[in-house]
Amino acid sequence: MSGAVTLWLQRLGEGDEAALDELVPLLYDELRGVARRLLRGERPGRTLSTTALVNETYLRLLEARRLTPTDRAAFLGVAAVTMRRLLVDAARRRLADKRGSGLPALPLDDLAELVAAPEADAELVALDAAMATLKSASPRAHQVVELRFFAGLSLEETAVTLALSTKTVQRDWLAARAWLRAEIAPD
Amino acid sequence: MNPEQWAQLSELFGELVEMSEDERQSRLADPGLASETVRALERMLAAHAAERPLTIEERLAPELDPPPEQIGPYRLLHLLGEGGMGEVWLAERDEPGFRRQVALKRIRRGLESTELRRRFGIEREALARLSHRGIAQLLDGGIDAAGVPFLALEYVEGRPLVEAADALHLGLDQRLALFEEVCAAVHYAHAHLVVHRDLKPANILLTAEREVRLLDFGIAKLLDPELQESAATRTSLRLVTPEYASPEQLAGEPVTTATDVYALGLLLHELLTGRRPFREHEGSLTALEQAVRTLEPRRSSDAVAATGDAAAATARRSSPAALARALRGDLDTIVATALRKEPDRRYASVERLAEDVALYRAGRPIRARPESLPYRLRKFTGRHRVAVGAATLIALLLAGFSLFAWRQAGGLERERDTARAERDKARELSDFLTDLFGADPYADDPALRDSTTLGEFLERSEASVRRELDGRPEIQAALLARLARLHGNLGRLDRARPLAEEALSTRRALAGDHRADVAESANTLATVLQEQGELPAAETLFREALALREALYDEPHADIAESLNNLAIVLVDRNDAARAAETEALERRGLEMRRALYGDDHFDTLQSRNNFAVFLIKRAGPGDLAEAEGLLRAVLAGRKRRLGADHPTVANTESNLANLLDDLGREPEAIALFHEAIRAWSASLGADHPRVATGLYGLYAALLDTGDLAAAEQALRAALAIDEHHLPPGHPYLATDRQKLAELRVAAERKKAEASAAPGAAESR
Repeated sequence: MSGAVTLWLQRLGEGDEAALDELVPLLYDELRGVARRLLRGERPGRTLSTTALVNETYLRLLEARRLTPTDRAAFLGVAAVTMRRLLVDAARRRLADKRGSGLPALPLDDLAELVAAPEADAELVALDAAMATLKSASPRAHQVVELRFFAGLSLEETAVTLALSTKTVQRDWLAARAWLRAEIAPD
Repeated sequence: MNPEQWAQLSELFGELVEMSEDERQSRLADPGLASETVRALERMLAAHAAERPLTIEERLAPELDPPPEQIGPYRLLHLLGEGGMGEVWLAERDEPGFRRQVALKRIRRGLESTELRRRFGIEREALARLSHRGIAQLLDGGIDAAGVPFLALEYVEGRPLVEAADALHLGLDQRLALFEEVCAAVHYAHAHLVVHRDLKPANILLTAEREVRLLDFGIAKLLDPELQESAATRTSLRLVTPEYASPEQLAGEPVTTATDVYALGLLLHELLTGRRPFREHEGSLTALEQAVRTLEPRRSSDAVAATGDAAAATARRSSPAALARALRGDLDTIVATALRKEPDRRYASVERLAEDVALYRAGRPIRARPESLPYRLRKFTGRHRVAVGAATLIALLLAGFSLFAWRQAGGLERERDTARAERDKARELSDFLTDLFGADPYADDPALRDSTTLGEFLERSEASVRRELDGRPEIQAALLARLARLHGNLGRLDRARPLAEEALSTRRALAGDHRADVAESANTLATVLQEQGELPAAETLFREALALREALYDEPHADIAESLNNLAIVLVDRNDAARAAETEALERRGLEMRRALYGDDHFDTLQSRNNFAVFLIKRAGPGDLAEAEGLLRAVLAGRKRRLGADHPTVANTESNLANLLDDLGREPEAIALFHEAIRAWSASLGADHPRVATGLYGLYAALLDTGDLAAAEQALRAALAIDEHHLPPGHPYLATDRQKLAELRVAAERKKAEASAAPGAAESR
């Protein structure tokens, strides 16, 4: 299983886009394992920040030597995608339940619960739509936001991961954040 | 929105956020801008000005939560910087009579488990022991109300060293003098068992008084996810700066004081030339990693000559040509020696590096020698014989003991995690001695080539640990446990044992949850007991360690795998046929766990394979030997790939495989492998090393089986010569060797007599 993470990360690094679809579920399992480990014995009701979760997962994989340092950028990119899908899916499902979609209320799985942010569900869904627009206009700015928001990377880390200068990342980030806020915030 | 629209929006927005309100208004009034664009920009500016207008930003905020105004006794004043690790704030606290300013680091990574928080506390105390004018003092630390760990460090006002030196137009000699100050501070920390791990110009400041101050000493380790306590820890790469990472850090190998020597080499290069040696490879992380691990850096003088950077030269009161001339020769050599890829071949200590700089400044010949082609070919001779001296030295100390055990075990090499590879042992010991006492066990000083002297070093260190850490049982026990391992590595089992026992009982008695430490100490003590032949007691402790670790960690886990391996070894030693099935299950489980953890080719996985093969050879049931051969061949291939053909560990495997083939009656293959092992041992450890004798002994046995008595005698004589050199005169080995030699001579005489008495007899047989 873990060997597969490394393998797919390599494939992704070599430009195999399909590898992403293989990686997300694998990484999802890793994230869930780490979340459970972190929360073992903690008081109930505590939620984790995406930052802590992604960092812990990365460190765990790195420490276990399943990842090489060069896999880091790819890992963080995939982790960001995974977290985004996870959060947005959970938000969609909760909103659907509230509206009485007629669908059976699916129990959210435990990872979605752990990083749940029900108070932000509507925003998350709106953010997802706005992010799609941003992606078509600037894939780079989209990636910056994804890494900053969903993998919790700092400016410097984002710059290293995307092999961009800090200045470029900062410019993309400020503009994209302002645009997204304007797009999502009710007028 | 299309890409062109975004490009325009983001560019204009970037300009606008930098402007004053008035400037913005006039910029937006530009009639060339579409009204739609102006509206979008106005909305963006309004959104930008709002502090966190979205709920998701609170939940997904990439930055830390806004800090409280006060953390412990510290009032936060303003943000000094932000990095991968977290934020640094200028903060102050009231102290009697004055207000102290500190640099307060808030650490991004949460310490999520109690165990990590506890280890964070221990490491912090170790760092607080550092008190040197060249090192920013760690004053305080803890976990704030929000659960975020923080550290309070002496606040240093200054500029990064390289930048400051350039601004001041310091000449080479002034730069070297400052570099010596940096070395003195690093050496001091090493003597207190702290490795910096992330030395880089940004962490080395020059104050207005032109004093050097090092920041963040040991912080990288404090932030290490596992906070491992052994000297040879690995650092996660995300905690170091890629541009200043050493080859071993990039390879995920153990970080030692040699890592700091490398970082100082990078600093010196930059201080002297104005650029980093691999700057042209810094475009991508992969390219940089590749370059750092495989490329020889350009000589400092060549780097200057090639770039012809006039500004850099001017900042050094020189011209590019003159600067290149000044660097050529000794300074090139000093930088190159500090920057060698292999930690073992760099300066043996920071002190040695500083000495060469001082010698150069005094106009005297430096000690390091440039690498020459003949040098590379002879690798282990010449001046750098001393650098390999320690490995040889430790091996010599171990020899009487391990060689004996080896031959007793039928020439099969088992390997134990706790003892680690010989090279690691040597490195841990030499780091420890060099840095703790300023003594250099690599020196070619005959007095130091004696275990009594080394033992004295350890005794002194024990006294200092007892004195300085009186009343701090947790830290004291950690260091005593380490001393126990060092004594054990030296074969001083009688000294190792009481220390290991003390560390274990202290850790058992400590309040709170110390199961991980108890497991580690139980493991250490068990290893000593096993070496002393007290197998049942060793087994009990190994089992305890395993049970504790199984309860503590999720599988697969490195420590559980270690325990499985060690327990299996003791069961193999106890040689109880009734428990062979249990042993096999442990071996298989340990091996599978390591494969899952590390993959097939990792050092530890190969070690488990090797040990499993040893078990199979000893049991020798149906199919066992064939499986063992397969395992050993895989081990050999893996190790050759990772370590190269000349490595002593590769030779160990070749020798194990050769013994097996000899037992299987495949002498010609065995002989070829013994030759290969002898060659590799000679190349790596020296032709006179006891391991070479071991190989020769195996070769002799295989040759004897083929009936080639002359060659067998030659091999045995060579083995005897080495043994005579290293073993005391009355040693049972020498008697055995001589007796076998006598038997050989008798057999040879008889054969000769038979041949002359009955010509053609050999053919007719």
